[in-house]
Amino acid sequence: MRLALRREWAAVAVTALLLMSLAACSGSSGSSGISVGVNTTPPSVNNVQPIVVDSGPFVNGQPVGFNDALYTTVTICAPGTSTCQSIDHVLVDTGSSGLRIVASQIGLNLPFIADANHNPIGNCAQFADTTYQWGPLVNVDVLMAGEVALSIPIQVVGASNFAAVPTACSAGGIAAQTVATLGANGILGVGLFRQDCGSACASTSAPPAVYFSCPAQLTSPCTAAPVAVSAQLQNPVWMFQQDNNGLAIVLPQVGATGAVSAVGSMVFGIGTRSNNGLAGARAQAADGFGNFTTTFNGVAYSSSFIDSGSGGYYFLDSSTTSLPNCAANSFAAGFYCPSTPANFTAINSGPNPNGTEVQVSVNVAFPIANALPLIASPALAFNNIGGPNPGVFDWGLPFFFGRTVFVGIEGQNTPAGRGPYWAY
Amino acid sequence: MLSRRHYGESFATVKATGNEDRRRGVTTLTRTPGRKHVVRNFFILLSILAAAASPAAATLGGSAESVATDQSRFHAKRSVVQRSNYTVHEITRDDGTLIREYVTPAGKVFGVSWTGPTIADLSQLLGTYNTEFQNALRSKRGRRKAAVVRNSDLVVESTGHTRDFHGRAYLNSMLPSGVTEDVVK
Repeated sequence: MRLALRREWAAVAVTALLLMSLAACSGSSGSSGISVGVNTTPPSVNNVQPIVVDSGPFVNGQPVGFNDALYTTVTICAPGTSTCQSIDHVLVDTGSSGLRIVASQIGLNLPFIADANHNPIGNCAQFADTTYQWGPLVNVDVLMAGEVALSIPIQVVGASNFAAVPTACSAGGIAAQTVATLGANGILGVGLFRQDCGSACASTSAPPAVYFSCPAQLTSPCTAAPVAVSAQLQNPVWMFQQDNNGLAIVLPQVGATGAVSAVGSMVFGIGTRSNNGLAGARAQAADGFGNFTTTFNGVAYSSSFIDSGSGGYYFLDSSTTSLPNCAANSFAAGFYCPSTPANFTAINSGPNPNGTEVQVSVNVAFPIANALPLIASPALAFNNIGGPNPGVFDWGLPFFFGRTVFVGIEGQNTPAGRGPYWAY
Repeated sequence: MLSRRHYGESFATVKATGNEDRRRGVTTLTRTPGRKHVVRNFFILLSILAAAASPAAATLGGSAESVATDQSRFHAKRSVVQRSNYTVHEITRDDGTLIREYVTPAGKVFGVSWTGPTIADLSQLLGTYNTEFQNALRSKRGRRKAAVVRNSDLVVESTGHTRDFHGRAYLNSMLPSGVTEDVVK
C-alpha cells in the first residue's frame, strides 16, 4: 500500500510541476496568489487527494503517530519555481486553517515574511490540549492532487533560527514543534475559515496573541501585532484556482475492533464537477467561531464542532454520559472505558446556509467502546473511542468513518449556499 | 517585566450590589479620590512584594491581590461582582478574552475561568498548579483534544479550538462553604 501511494504521489508531483510551469508562464508570482485567469469551466485537473490513517511518520525507526490521526502528503515549492518537495504525514485538520510544517522537514530556502518595518512576523497556533506551535511565516506554492495555491503564507513550526516563543503564545502550555511531539510532519488546516485568525488579527487596537512582530535581529521578545487578513495564514483550498469553495473528506467505515490503517480521499470543491456533488448531504451552517449546537438527552451544547484533527469523540463527562473514565494510570488515560460498548444518539443542528436560515437537524448515532483493549491492539483507526470534554461535543475523526463530510468554506458560494457550513 | 501602567486603577473600592443576576450585577470599579495616593502607594508595595515572589504572584490558590496583578499583566479592564459567599472578578481584554477569578470571603482565589480567541496564559492563571496540570496531561494518551485533569484537589478543564478557547480550574479544598464547583464557569 505504501509503495502504491508513493507512485501516486510521484504522479501528483509531476502533474503539479506541469501546472507550475503554466502558472509561471502567465507571470503570476505575486502575493495575491489569485492572478491566474479562471476559466468558466474548470480545467480537468485532478481534485482527489489521497488521505490515510496510519501509524504516522517515523523518528529513529519508530512511528510517532497516535490513534485516529489522518494524514496526507503535501507538496510545497519556492514561489514561482519548480523547486519543490513533498512532505508526507501532514495531519489533515478540519479544526484549523492554514498549513504548518515542522522546520526540520523543510529543505527549501524560504525567506521569512516581514512587515512594512522589515520585522519578521511570527505566528502562533494553540490547541485545547495546551500544545502550541510557534514560528515564522514563509511564502510557498502549495500543491495537492492537481490543485495549486500560489504563493501563500505558511508557518514554519519550531524554526531554530527564529525568535523565542512569546509567553502569550506558549501560555504555560506544551511545545509540540517536533515531528515526534506533534506526531506529524505538519498540520494541514482545511477548516471552515479562509484564514487561521481573520479580521480579529487585523485589529490595530487589540490583536490577539496569534501574530507577532519580531525584531529584525531576533534578539528581544516579539510582541502581538496586527496583520492584514490577506497576509495571514491561508487555508490552501480557498486559494486554489478552481474547486476552491470547500472540500469533502471521504473515509471508509471500520469495524468495531478498528483497522490497522484506513485509506480515503480528500475531494476539492463542492458541486464544481461531477465527482464532488453534495448528493443527499444536509448542510448546517456554523457560527462565527466555527461552532454549532449538539443536543444530547435534551440538553443543547452550543460550542460543538467537527474536527478531523481530534483522535476521538470528545464529549461531555462521566456524569452526563454514564461512561467511566479509563484509569488515570493506564495508557488509555483520557479516554472512556465502558465495560460493554454503549450506543448514543445526539442531534446536530444549525441554520440552513441557503439563506432561509431554517434550522437543519441531523440525528447522529455513535458507539463508544472500551478504549483500553482497542488502543492496546495493533489497530489505529477506530470509530468508537472517545473521552471527556465537559460541556462540548468535539466530533473527532471517528465521526468521519463511513461518511462523506463536506467543509463549506466561509464566504464561498456552493450549491448548498455560502460557507461556513458542514454537510454530511 | 511587568507593565506598571494600570497599577493606579487596579486597587479601588468595589460597589457591591448584592444582585444575584450576574450580568446586571456587574459593576465597574471606581476610584475613591481621597485615598488615591495612599492606595496607590500601598498597591505599589504589594506589587513589588508580588513581583519579588514571582511566579507565586499568580493566582489560583493565591491571594486576591494577585487578581490585580493579573489585570495588569493582561492589560485589561476589571469589574467585580459580589455574591453571597464569594466574589467574581471579571478581567476583560479588548481582544475578546474574558477571565474570571473567583475569590473566597478570606480573599483567596479558589477558581478561575477563561474564554477567548487564544488560551489565556495558564502559567499566570494557575500559578504553581499549572505544573501539576501539565504533568497530568503528559501522562495522558491522545492529542488534539480537550484537556481534562481531575486530581483530588485540582480540577482543570481546557477545551475549544482555533478562534474559540475556553476552560476553567478550581481547587476543591478551597470552595467556600455552600459553594459548588458549578459556579466556576
